[in-house]
Amino acid sequence: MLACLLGPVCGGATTLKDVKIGIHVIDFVTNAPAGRAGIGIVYDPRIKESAEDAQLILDSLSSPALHLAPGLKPQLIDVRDLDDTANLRVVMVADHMKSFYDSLAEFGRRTRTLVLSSDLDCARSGKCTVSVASAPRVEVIVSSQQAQASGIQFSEAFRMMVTEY
Amino acid sequence: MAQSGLSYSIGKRPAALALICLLACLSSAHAHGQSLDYQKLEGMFDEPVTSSATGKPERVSDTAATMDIITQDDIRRSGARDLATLLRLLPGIETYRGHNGSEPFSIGSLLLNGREIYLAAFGQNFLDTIPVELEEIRQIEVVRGPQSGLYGFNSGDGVINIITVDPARDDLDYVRARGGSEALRDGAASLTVQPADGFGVRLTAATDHEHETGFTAPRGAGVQAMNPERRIFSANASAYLPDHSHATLEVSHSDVSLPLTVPEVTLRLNARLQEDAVKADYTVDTAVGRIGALFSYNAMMVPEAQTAPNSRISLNDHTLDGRLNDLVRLTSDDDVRAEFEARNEAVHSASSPEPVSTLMLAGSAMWDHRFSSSLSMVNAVRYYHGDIEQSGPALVNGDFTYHPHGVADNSSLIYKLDSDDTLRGSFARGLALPSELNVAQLGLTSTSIKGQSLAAGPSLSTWTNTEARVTYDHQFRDEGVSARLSLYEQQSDSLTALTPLPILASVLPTCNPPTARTLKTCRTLAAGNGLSGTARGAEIEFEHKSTSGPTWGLNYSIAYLQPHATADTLLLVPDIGHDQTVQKANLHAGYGWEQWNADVRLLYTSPTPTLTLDTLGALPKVAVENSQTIVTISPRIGWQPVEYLSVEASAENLWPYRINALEKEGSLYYLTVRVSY
Repeated sequence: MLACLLGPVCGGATTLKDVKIGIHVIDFVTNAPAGRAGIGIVYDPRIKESAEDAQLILDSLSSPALHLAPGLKPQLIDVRDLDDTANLRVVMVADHMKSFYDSLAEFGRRTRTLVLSSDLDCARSGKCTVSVASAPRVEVIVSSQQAQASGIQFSEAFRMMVTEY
Repeated sequence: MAQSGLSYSIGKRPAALALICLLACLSSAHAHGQSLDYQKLEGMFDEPVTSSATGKPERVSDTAATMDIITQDDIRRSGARDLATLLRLLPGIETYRGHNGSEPFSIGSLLLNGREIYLAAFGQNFLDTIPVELEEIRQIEVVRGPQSGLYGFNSGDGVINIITVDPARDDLDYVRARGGSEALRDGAASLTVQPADGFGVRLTAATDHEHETGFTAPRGAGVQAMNPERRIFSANASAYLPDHSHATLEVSHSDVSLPLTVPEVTLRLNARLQEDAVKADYTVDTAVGRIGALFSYNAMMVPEAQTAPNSRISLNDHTLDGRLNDLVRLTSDDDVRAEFEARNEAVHSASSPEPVSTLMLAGSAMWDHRFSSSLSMVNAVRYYHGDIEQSGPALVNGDFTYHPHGVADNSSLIYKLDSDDTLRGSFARGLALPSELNVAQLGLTSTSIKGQSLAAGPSLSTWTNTEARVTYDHQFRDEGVSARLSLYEQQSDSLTALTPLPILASVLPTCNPPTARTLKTCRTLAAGNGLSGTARGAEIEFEHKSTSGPTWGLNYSIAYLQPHATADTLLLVPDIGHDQTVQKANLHAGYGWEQWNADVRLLYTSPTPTLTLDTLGALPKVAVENSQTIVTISPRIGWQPVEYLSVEASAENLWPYRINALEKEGSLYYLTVRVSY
């Protein structure tokens, strides 16, 4: 995920600040299921760009400068093994995963998991719960339809400041 | 410049205030929503966030209103010791110069985390009494133009909201010591305790002292010398509760001694101000939106103020304020906010036979609609109704009742042309009420001889300020420079000017005591209600901010003022009808390298009209006079060898200047040591 934030596809350099945008979104979920601590970085190992992007995300999340909450544990997940994974609080979608958007959306609804992407069209089309972009200006897009179907609620202050579709 | 005005303000600098306002202002007091998690929201959006513009949380770049943000980084590099110095850095804002922090300012209302700092008796703020140290401030939000539709009673000319750091999120622990010329010595310390995640308490204590050196004429017999002193204590608690609600509690006490002058008058005023305040705020997300409740109690006491032998005044001002609001996202493109406010004030004066009580009720609604990703609109309307009463057997003119009411509105539009260009337009009508001093018998404008009061009574009306403004912002991203051009026109009507204290009684024979024949004249002199005027102006800003390497800024404001007077005020200011252009410019250049940073600031203010009472001549005369041109230069250099220690050498006003006939502003040199732990 966060290809535009992190990966070379969009031509922007990966920064910790970019990754923070995605992490901050998690803070504004008001009904996060108790006991879930996993951050799944979902990618397709058969696509080189996707794998590289996923590794960049993992490296950034593991950086002490990010001050990731102690309970949250990032891990790389092959998109084909997603159903075998439990205890996920959020799924971060790596680059070049458009062909899996439908199955990711269905996973999010079924497991009540936040699906986060750097592809703004993913939330606009109702597949991802939230999409973020950092350049040229920070943008946060929430799919109300996906959030509602996944039973995910955000704080009112957060909703006032983002774009909802 | 000075598009804004001090509205009807008065107080220690009666005329001068009405002035900056009257003329300068021909260009006012509530803001909200301090229950935001600023740290997290800013971390996500990478820019300051605010709720001062509409009552709903927004990114500053998304606000339809024209506003400025002074951040903690700006404060750190400003070298400022007080709020007045900070506010002067902005275009179009005038602060009357006087001793440190005693200055009033030329923009509407002032709030600390949403609590209004306001002395209703005088209709004025006293910056020194605000229980906050600059280190505690996260940001100062300045909203331009009338904001009564959003904020109510006193914001007919804009809003300044001081937001402090959140003790539940920000672990602020420091000790500051400062010493310099003129026996300057001050100290402050904050301690933050965070016993649990999402809960914190911050305790702050501060004391300031400085020798009184600005007066150039001998004080009147019997008026003792007074050095500026300031002591404050505050406790701030913040808790993010498991149900995702947020509660804050703030308690403070301040005790300030201020030597003042009434500009251009051979009158000095030594005053001591004490303020105790409590504020509680609670916000919770519910099925019907984000509901917020705010309660505050403020007791402002003036235990002693001395102008001349036997001319002592004292008063107590107690204010209870309660607000309940609901912010709802109706659709993905529509947010609405409704608020109800009740405010009760009681002012007791030692020289008044009875207290003045005020009950204000107000209801407001805001609607924010997004037409597209680039175009949004905000509309707000507020209705208020008040009961101002003074009753009792000792009142010389009988019971007094005044029932002000009115509607204020704001409309603003923001159009984002592209990621670098933003256009804002607004039209607003603001309202402000006369102070208790204006409308009733506090005894401060009366000789109390033979039972005649100079209080103006119910003839006064609500001051209105109508403004149309267009603002264009552009980002030069490659250069890291932001630019702004703002054009406005304001029309102020029914502006009240007042000469408080027993000035008139002491200098005008016909008013001491007033006779049946002269009473009307004396009352008119004491309070005028017909001043009005038009201001057209422009404000230009360029800014490049950086913590390392070069940093610089430039702003310039110009205003063309056209004051008018009605027959009611011709006696007060017979020569008010002079058009005038007022200009102000700020230039800042700085550089940061390794452990060092240095800045120099240049401020220019052209002659600015001031309403004065000239008692130096054979006959006392009220007139509009210009202050002189003021140019100040203030350099600083800071050194931070380790993260927890900073040392700063600063100078203020390297070119001393005279403020008025009695007062001058001299140079000041000081060294500041700050230890964080």
